[in-house]
Amino acid sequence: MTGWRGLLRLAWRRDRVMIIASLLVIWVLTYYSAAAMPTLYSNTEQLMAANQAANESTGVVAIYGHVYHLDSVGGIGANKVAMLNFLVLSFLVIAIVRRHTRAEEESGRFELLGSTSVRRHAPLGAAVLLAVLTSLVSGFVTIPASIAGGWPVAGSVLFGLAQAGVGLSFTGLTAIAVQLSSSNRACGGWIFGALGVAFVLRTIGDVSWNRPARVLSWASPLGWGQQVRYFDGDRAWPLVVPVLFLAICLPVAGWLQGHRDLGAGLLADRAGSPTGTMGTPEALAWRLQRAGLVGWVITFTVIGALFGSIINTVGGFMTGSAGDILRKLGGVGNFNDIYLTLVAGMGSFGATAFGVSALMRVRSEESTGHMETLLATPVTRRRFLTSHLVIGFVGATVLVALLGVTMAGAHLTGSTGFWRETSPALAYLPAIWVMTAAVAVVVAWLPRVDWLGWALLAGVVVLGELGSLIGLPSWTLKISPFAHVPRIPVEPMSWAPEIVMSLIAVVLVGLAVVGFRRRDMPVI
Amino acid sequence: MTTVIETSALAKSFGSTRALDGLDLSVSEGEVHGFLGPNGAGKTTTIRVLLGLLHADSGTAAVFGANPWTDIETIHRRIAYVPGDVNLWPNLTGGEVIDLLARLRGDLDPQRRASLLERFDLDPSKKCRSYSKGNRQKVALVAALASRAELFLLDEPTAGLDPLMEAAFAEVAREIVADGRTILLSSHILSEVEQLSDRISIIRAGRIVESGTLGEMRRLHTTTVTAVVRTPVPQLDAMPGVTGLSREGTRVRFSVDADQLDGAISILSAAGLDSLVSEPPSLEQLFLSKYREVPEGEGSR
Repeated sequence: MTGWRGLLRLAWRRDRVMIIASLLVIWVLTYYSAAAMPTLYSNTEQLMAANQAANESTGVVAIYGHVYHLDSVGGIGANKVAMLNFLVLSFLVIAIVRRHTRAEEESGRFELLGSTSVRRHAPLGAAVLLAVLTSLVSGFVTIPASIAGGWPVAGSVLFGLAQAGVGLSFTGLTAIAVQLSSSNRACGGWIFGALGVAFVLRTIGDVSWNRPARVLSWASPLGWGQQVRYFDGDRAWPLVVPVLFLAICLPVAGWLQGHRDLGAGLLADRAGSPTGTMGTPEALAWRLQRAGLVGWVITFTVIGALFGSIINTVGGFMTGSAGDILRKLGGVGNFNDIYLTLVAGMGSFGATAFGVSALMRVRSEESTGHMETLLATPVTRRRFLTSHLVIGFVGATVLVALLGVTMAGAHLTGSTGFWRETSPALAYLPAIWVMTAAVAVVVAWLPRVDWLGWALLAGVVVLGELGSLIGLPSWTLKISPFAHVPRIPVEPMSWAPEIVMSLIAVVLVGLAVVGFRRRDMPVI
Repeated sequence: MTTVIETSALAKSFGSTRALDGLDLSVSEGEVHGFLGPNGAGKTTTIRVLLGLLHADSGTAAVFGANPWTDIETIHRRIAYVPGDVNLWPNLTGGEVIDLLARLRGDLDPQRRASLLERFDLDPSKKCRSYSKGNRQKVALVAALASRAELFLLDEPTAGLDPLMEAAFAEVAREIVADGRTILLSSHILSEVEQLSDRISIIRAGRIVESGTLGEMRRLHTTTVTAVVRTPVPQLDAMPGVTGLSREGTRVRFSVDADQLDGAISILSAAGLDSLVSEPPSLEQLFLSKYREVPEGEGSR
């Protein structure tokens, strides 16, 4: 592994801002989630009521997990922050491993390194090592944050280690995924697909916590983390699973890498058509984005159908203090209706993520030099930007509609009406448009700090998911467009915010087009 | 002769770096115009201004008499461009890229395309991801050269090509100008520019330091003379414009400015000549002398 030390240092240099920022997010989320608990539930009775309410809401269980002991101090609050931490860390280690392996190889920079005294496995080794260290550090900073916030020591230690374990599992999976295809994007598709499958498997497992299907939790790296049951039974032995899993993944990844050529994937590139039929920037934008969109469509269809089909496990009507607590967790009214708004809310974040990625594609087209080639033809900047804007807007709209339709469609018995159950998702559209348009503004006006696009999404997710839980002032919560979406059918439909947000989206799109036509290109 | 590209006092800064510093470039119709300069001198920046990708801070630029920043569509219909760093969509085939760019420009010519593919020995059915650097370059070249564009902006077009393909490129380039079309050939490969160009502009630190035909440039520079004379030629020692004089028995060697060449040869001939070799300055010498002339204000980015 000659050269891995230098590569590790190089990787750390390139990633340190991303790593430190993500770890800071994890640390802050953990501390405030723990610290907010006493203000939310002043006594054990309230805490148990909250945990029970969470358990009875299938939406909450499906997204965050089941609480096994109602007197769990962490309870639903810990499950919530744990799931967010797990996902943040998973995205982080996936990014680290991809950036220093397949992305480098595809760009040809590996050939540069390959000509120095760097051994074949050194880049993979360095990337994996950085990801493993990041996972461990994320776990270790979580422990004091959780203790300082007031959660018990034993549970905090297990929580931190469980989180580190999730990081290790996805490090191993990514190491394998980057061997599969010669395209970094395709490799990304494989690993994010695996993350999605892991989420769905544990969703089914958690919802079926008292039925045989609960074993599915054990097929998911996210499930392995949850099954440590921090603050909720405190079991240390599941921590072994991710370590073993990583120990299996790494030799497999190494073996796969040893059996392929530099630059090639395990799944060979096929020869393509010697002639092309594309002749417009729109056709090109569609060609570049359609594979990604298809992946999202499949994900949304599966999730919509899955969540729609489990609505009926949701029980009765909540009153009293349990209802109060559920209100703090983001919903009011009938459980089925709360469930619909909850799933629609999560889905709207996913659809926004697609909108963001579709617009960020403009930036990657620019920094790779593709855009320069295109803009040297009679294609105008406005038309080029619009081609990707349309995909972002239409794609996000289709995804949310698909979620609503499949969820309502899969809710066969006891449905309160197809349109009534589809509309909660559709109500999120204006907010999604505002976010997508805001990212277009970033791409047009602030290309050098384009990571702001993803930061905007992360910001509204944190505000929406944890803002009230960690006690942020209410005016900060109102910054997010999602805070203005009417939670139908729990709340009545109100058109004013929807119309205002749609208009804001239109203005932002106009602003983006103006900025894109004015600035110098390409900004690398 | 019509002027295709005309810039005057063009300036462009990136932060504190002055990439273009009063650039005056003039390219006429039907010529291969060599655009020579070291790395970071401002060649790519100039081309990007001409393509309307960058907005100049001051000065004017005109392509076909139109403003490259505002009249994108009309200008780009008549332009073909090969970027200095060819990066193509990794999951499209070479053929798809060639056809896409042709259709966007509105002039797909299957016969021309096929003949160029053959001359550049390029397999268009491979994904761009799997092409070598040279083959990616060929895709960009075929896409540009197959077009009916009137102006070709080629930024180091032969980078990564083998000598055989360089020759194929030179041949096609000659056909294009024979057709009355224009090529701006940016390069730091001197032999290529020397071989193809009708006129040359040398850029240094964002400014044109020399412009003209190769012949004109040579006239402005020193010629190296080596002669074997029968009698000594002491007059040369005091002659203005003569530098680097060295003697080795009856052999003298010196450099002389173009306007003094006549006088120097008369002196040699009066002394009785046994042999005379005069070497005009190569482009390389011109190039190097121009680079060394302006030591301050480095244009590197």
